[in-house]
Amino acid sequence: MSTDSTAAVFTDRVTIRYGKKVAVDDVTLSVPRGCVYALLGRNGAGKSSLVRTLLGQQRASAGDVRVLGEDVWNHRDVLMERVGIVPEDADAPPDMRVEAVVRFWAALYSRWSAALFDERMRRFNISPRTKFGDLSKGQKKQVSLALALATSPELLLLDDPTLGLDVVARKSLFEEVIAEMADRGITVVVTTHDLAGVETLADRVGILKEGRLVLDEELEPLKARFRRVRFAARPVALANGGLATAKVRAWGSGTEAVVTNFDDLTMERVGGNDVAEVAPMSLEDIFIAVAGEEA
Amino acid sequence: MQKVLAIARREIGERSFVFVAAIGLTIAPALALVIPRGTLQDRLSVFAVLSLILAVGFTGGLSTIVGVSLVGRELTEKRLSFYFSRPVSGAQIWFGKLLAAIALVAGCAAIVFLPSVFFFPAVSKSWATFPLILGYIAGVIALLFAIGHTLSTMIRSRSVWLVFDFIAAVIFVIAVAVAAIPLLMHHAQVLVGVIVYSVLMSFVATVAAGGAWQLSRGRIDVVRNHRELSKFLWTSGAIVLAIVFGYTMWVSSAGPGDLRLMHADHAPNGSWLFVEGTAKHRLDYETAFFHDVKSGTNIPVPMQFQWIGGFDRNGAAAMWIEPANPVTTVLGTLVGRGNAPMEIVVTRLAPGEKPRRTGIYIESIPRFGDITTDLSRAAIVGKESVSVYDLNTRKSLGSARVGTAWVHFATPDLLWVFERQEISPSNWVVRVSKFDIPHHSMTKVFETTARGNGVAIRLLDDERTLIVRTFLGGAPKFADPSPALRLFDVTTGQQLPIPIGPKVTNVRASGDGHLLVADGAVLKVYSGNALQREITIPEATSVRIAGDLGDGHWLVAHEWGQRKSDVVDINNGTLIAHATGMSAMMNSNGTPVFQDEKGTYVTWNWQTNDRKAIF
Repeated sequence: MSTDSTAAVFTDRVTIRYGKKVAVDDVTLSVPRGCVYALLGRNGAGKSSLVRTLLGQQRASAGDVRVLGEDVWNHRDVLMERVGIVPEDADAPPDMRVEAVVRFWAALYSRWSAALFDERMRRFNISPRTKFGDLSKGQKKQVSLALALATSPELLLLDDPTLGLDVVARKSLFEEVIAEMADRGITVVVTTHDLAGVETLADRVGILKEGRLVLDEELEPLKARFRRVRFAARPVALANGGLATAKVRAWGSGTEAVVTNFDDLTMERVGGNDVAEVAPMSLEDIFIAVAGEEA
Repeated sequence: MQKVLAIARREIGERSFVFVAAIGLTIAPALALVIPRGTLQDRLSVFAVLSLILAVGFTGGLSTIVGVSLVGRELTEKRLSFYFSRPVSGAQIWFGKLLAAIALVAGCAAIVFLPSVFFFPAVSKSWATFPLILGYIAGVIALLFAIGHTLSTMIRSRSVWLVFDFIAAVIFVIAVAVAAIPLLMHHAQVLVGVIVYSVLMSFVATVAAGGAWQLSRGRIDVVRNHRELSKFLWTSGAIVLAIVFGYTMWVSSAGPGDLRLMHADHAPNGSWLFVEGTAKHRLDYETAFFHDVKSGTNIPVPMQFQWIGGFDRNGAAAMWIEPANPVTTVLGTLVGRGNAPMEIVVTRLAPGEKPRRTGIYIESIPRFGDITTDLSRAAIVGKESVSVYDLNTRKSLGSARVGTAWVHFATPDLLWVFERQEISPSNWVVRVSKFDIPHHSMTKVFETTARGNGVAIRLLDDERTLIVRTFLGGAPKFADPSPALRLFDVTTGQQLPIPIGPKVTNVRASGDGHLLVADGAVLKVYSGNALQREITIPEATSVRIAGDLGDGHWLVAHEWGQRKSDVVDINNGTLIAHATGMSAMMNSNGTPVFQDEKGTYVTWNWQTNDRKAIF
């Protein structure tokens, strides 16, 4: 894990407060350059606040926030030249035609590429004469994406990009676009509820829970250490054997546990013949185990 | 700049419908032209006036709405992230929006004011002031925009900063009023207007700059925007206040050297002048001083003075009135209720003296006043009465009913009262009375009549000789007009048989009993009824007797346009000094004061011929 300030995204003990309410609490995270980072969390976990802070739109109450090595609050306008953003809600004014939006973008970004934009728009089959407000939610996302990519960003920040997209568009987004970005070495930070989609692409995952970053880890090791283990009998003294659990519940006459530091040898030693089933977990299962209420 | 323009274009595009509304509003008043009532000129007038009213209303309303919605609405609707996700600074966003606002309002104004610009010259003579009116309207529109933006940002945040803003606004307004009141007391209403306008425009400028500060630091957070705007606004407000107070102090520091004289009044004797006027570089700010010509020292006259010519006979004391409560009077004047009680103020005319409020109040502005040399008593002539006050005990010593009158103290216990009254058209009664103060009795000592358009009376320095001048105008429309100038001995009531000709300009009495008459270019000296001497003043066609310089030396001034003055010795009838380029002030006894061609007041030492400009 990179913890230095040269990472694509680096936050050091960031806290964001709204009055007495703490939205983000002492979060330190680092997203290495070229990485696809999935920032996950339930509604109200603090994702949006953290994203706004990463974009320099909102100042952290405490802590340091750096994007592409720069202090984002003080250098936001320069940094945004290098950051592509697909917001959760497409933010272009509804009365603006797509071509007007494009003209506006072209005036703001020195690295604007009309060819890149046109190429992607042709794929989406959206007329530039269409008013932004007349586009479907999915089309708005597609236009936003095309706009973001046409600026040749070094960091692409996608805030719940699949919201409102149909299955095909969602698949296209993850498989084509994000993968393409990753292949080109562009850092991608994505917040999403589509965990299945992001699972295939993310290099690293962070999970926010009630404002705290409860998990920040590369995806493969994460998945390797999380297992759903079912025991035929109960109770089972897992902790005594050195296995940590995120969740333990009754399973028929036995017990089901989510083990967070699984390894075969320990399992063999602790579980013995009681182990009925050891199953790998999807990112969604891990998320539920870590961020779910009952966890 | 490219980014600013891009933002401005986008903002204009989003609100371009207002141009359509402006065109509609421009055309609508044309209906007045087709209504079949009145002449074409009448209908044109209605059209022009209606257009102007609609134009002002529309532009003002638009400016307010644009101000309210430009940032405030986008903050609450969380739409500003559209800009803040782009590579543009807060300042660029603000100035882009501001540029758009200016373009929108100015563009719409250009459309809606078009009929007024074209048709006002045809229907109104006030066309010449129209650009001025437009300038004023532009200021008001900018102000509405600034107020709209400020209130929108503040109210939409719903934060506790609103309380701070309210308190700060109240303090600011009070502070400006505190700075303005001293100026208003010096009758500087235009100056105060300029200051208030400048403060308002500085508010507009502050908001124009503060918007950039607000967005740069507040970004998409509405409360933070409010906080930053408030900080900028009130910091700037404090600077503006400091400037206003500094300027006010500078204005108030105006000394006699800064005066542009409107009026100077020489004391009947001695070397003191009352001078008042506007001060240089201070618009209509008026100030007043007593100035000692000999020593060059001054006694500043407080604010809101009402000069009623109250020197004592010796020029050693002066009296005038001030509002009892200057602040109340100033504020009352602003709302048309300025008739507050007045207080008698006196001063001894000597270096280092300061005016003294007597604590004696009168209900209205008097017509005339006099004071004793020892500052013990003052007489005030009101609309229908004369009252005498003891300045030490603050008590009234008595009063008497009089008509149009003026007074002067013969002694602290005896007051001369001179009255004139028009009893019927062109018929006047002139009356001289003595008011015995200790005995509260007024005794008529002399009365005569005059027939003319007007009449003036004056008691000479000998306190015996009364001059009665009758003004006849060009061609009297009545029979038997009175002689233009008559002399009476008030102690006997007898008319003095001095041969007064038509060229007599004025008459003076010397302390040793001589009577001086300026008759054309000749100064005649009488002893009793006998003409003792005639002194012809060279280069003059008529002269005025300006002052007694002592030792038989008298100052005479040539006719006003000549700007020449002479000093004559009436004892031997010789001309002993001659000055050109300046004309002596009246009552220049003791130390004479002159006015040169430029209107500058100068002193002249006739013995050494040294001249010195004083104002």
